[in-house]
Amino acid sequence: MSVDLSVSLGSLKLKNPVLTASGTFGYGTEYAELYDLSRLGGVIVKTITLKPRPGNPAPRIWEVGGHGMLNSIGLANVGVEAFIAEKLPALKNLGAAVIVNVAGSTIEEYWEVVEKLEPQPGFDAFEINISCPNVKDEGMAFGSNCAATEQIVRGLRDRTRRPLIPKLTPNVTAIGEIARACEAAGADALSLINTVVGMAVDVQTRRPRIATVTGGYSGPALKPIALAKLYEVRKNVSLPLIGIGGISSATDALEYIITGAAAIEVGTANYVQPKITLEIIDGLKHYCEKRKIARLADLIGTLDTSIG
Amino acid sequence: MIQECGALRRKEVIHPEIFDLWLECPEVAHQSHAGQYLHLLIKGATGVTLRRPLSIAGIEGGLIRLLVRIVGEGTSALAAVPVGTIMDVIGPLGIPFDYSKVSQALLVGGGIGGAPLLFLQDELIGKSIPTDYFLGAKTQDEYPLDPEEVERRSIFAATDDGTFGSAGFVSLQVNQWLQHHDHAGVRVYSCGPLLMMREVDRICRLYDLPHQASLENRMGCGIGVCQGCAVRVNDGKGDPRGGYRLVCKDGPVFDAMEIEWAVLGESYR
Ligand SMILES: Cc1cc2nc3c(=O)[nH]c(=O)nc-3n(C[C@H](O)[C@H](O)[C@H](O)COP(=O)(O)OP(=O)(O)OC[C@H]3O[C@@H](n4cnc5c(N)ncnc54)[C@H](O)[C@@H]3O)c2cc1C
Ligand SMILES: Cc1cc2nc3c(=O)[nH]c(=O)nc-3n(C[C@H](O)[C@H](O)[C@H](O)COP(=O)(O)O)c2cc1C
Ligand code: FES
Repeated sequence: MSVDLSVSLGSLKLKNPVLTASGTFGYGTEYAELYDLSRLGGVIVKTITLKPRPGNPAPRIWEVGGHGMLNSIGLANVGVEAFIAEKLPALKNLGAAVIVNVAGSTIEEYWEVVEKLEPQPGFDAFEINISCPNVKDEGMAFGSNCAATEQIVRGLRDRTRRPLIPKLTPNVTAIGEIARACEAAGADALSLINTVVGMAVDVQTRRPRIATVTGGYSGPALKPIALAKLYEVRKNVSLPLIGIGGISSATDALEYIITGAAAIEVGTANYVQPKITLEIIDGLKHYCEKRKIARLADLIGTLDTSIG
Repeated sequence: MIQECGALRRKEVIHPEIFDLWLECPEVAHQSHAGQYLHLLIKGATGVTLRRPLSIAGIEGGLIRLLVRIVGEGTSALAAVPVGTIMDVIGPLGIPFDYSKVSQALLVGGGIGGAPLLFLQDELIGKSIPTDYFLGAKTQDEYPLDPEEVERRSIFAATDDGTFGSAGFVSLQVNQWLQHHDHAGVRVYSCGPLLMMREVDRICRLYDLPHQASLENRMGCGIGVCQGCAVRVNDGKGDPRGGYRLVCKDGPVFDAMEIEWAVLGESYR
C-alpha cells in the first residue's frame, strides 16, 4: 500500500512532515556527508541575524543527565550578508524544502533581515525566532509580548510573499494569546516550542554550568511540555502547526501529529543520531501502512479526548 | 566523516579507571589521521544524552584504538560494554596534527591526553621523523599505558610523585631536552591538562618553537553545527578579538599561538 506522507503548511507543500530544527542543523548542508538530505521534508537553518554574531562566552552547553541539554549559544551566526553570499547557494538543489530562520534584537532588525533575504532565490519560507531578547525592553523576549509579536509579524507580512512561520517560546504565561497575535498579524503557520529556560549548578565549585547562568533546555525532557503547549495553541488558532521538542522517534512524531501538528522538527536528536530523521519518516509510513491510512494528513489532530 | 557501526573487538584494563578499546571500523580507520577523534554513541547508558568524543589512539588494520579514562556516566558505561558489541561511531572528525617541514618532533602528553600522541608517534615513525615522546601522569595508578608499552615505544615517562618513571612534571623534562639539543626543525605537540599545555607553551615561546596543542571541550554535535564547543582565540598575533573557534571542527588541534590560555580556563570549568 502506498502512503501519501505529504502535508501542507499553508501554501508550503512538504513531501513529508519531517523537518530539522534551527540551530541543530547548521546552515543546512553539513550533514550531507552522512546521508541524502533530499529525503527530508525540509531543513531549517540556524537563526540568521542582520550582523554576524560571535555568540556567548564558553562554556555554552551542558548535558543534563539522560534528559536533554542546556545551551547558551547566543545565536552565533555569520550574519545575513555572508549567509546570502556563502551559504544560501549551496541549498539551491537540496531536493527538500528550505526554511530560513531569522531574528533581530530590535523589531526593525527583524524586518531588515527579511528585506535582505526576500529577493534571493533558493528558499521556501521564513521561520521567525521570536524568542530573542529585545534590547530596547530590558531583554524581555519579543515572543513573550503580544504587541511586540504582532508588530514584528505584521511588518514582515508587508515585506514578504513567502510563508511566515513564527516560532513560539514556551516561556510565557499564555501561549495561546501569542499564537492569536501571530494569526491576526498574517502568519501562515506556527512552530513550537523553542527551548525552555533552564539552569544547572556545579555543587563542587558553586558555579553555573554554563557561562550565561541560564540557558535553553532541549531534548527528550521537553516532549510532554511541548505537547501540552501544542494542545493549547491548537485550541486558540486554526493555523497549521509544527511541533518541536524532544522528538527522537516516529512514535514521538506521531504524538505531535495526532495532537494537531501538520509537521514536526527534530532538534537535539540530530546530534545523537544524525539519520534519525530518516528513521522517523520510515516509521510514519509503516504506522500508516499497518493501519491502512492512505494519507498521513488525515491523522493530523485526530486526538480523541472523549475519555478523560 | 562517515558513520560506521563496528564491533568492539578487544578491551584491556590498564588500571581500574583506564582501559584500552579496539573497535573494528575499517572505513573510518582508513581515513583517520593522528589528532582526529571519534564521536561515539554509548547506547543504553543511563544519564547520557549525547555522544562522547574520544581521540583515535592508533590504527591497526581495520581496528581503531581508543584509550579511555573513566570520569563519569558515559565512560563508565563504555567500560562495561562487552567485547563483540556493535558500536556506532562518527569519524574521523577534526583537524589532524601537522608535521610537514618537521625534522624533530617533541610530543608532550599528560595523563589520558597521551592518547592522540600515540597515534602521532606511530605516524611520525612511519615518516622517519625523529620523535621524542614525553608522557607524564600524577602517579603510577593514573599512568595511561602499561610499562611494557612505555618501554617498547621508548617513551620518557614521568609522574609528579616519582612512582613511575622520573619524578616531576613532563614540562621540566622538555625544558631540559631543549637546553641540551639543537632546535632546528623542532616542532612541539601537546595534549593533556590545561596547566601542562600552558607551561609547555610558555617554554615553546621562550625558544621560539612552533607548538600545536590539542584541546578538549564539551561537545554537542561534533561536526560544527551546534556551536557549543567554541573557545576564544586570538588572531594568531595576540589580538584577543580573534573571536571563537570550534574545538570539534576548527580543532581539536590548534596552533598554540592562537590560544587564549587565560580565557580557556574559564571554558574548562
Ligand atoms: C577531542 C576530544 C578528544 C578526547 N579524547 C579522549 C580520549 O582519548 N580518552 C578519554 O578518556 N577522554 C577523551 N576525551 C574526554 C572525554 O570525551 C570525556 O571524558 C567524556 O566525554 C566524559 O564523559 P562521561 O559521561 O564519562 O563524563 P560526564 O559525566 O559527562 O562528565 C564527567 C566530568 O568530565 C567532564 N567532561 C565531560 N566531557 C568532557 C569533555 N569533552 N572534555 C573535557 N571534560 C569533559 C565534565 O565536566 C565532568 O566534570 C576527549 C575529549 C575531546 C573533546
Ligand atoms: C544548541 C542549540 C542551538 C539552537 N539554536 C537555535 C536557533 O538558532 N534558533 C532557533 O529558533 N532555535 C534554536 N534552537 C532550538 C531548537 O530549534 C528547538 O526548538 C529546541 O531545541 C527543541 O527541540 P529538541 O528538543 O528536539 O531539541 C537551538 C537548540 C539547541 C539545542
Ligand atoms: S560540538 Fe557542535 S559545533 Fe562543536
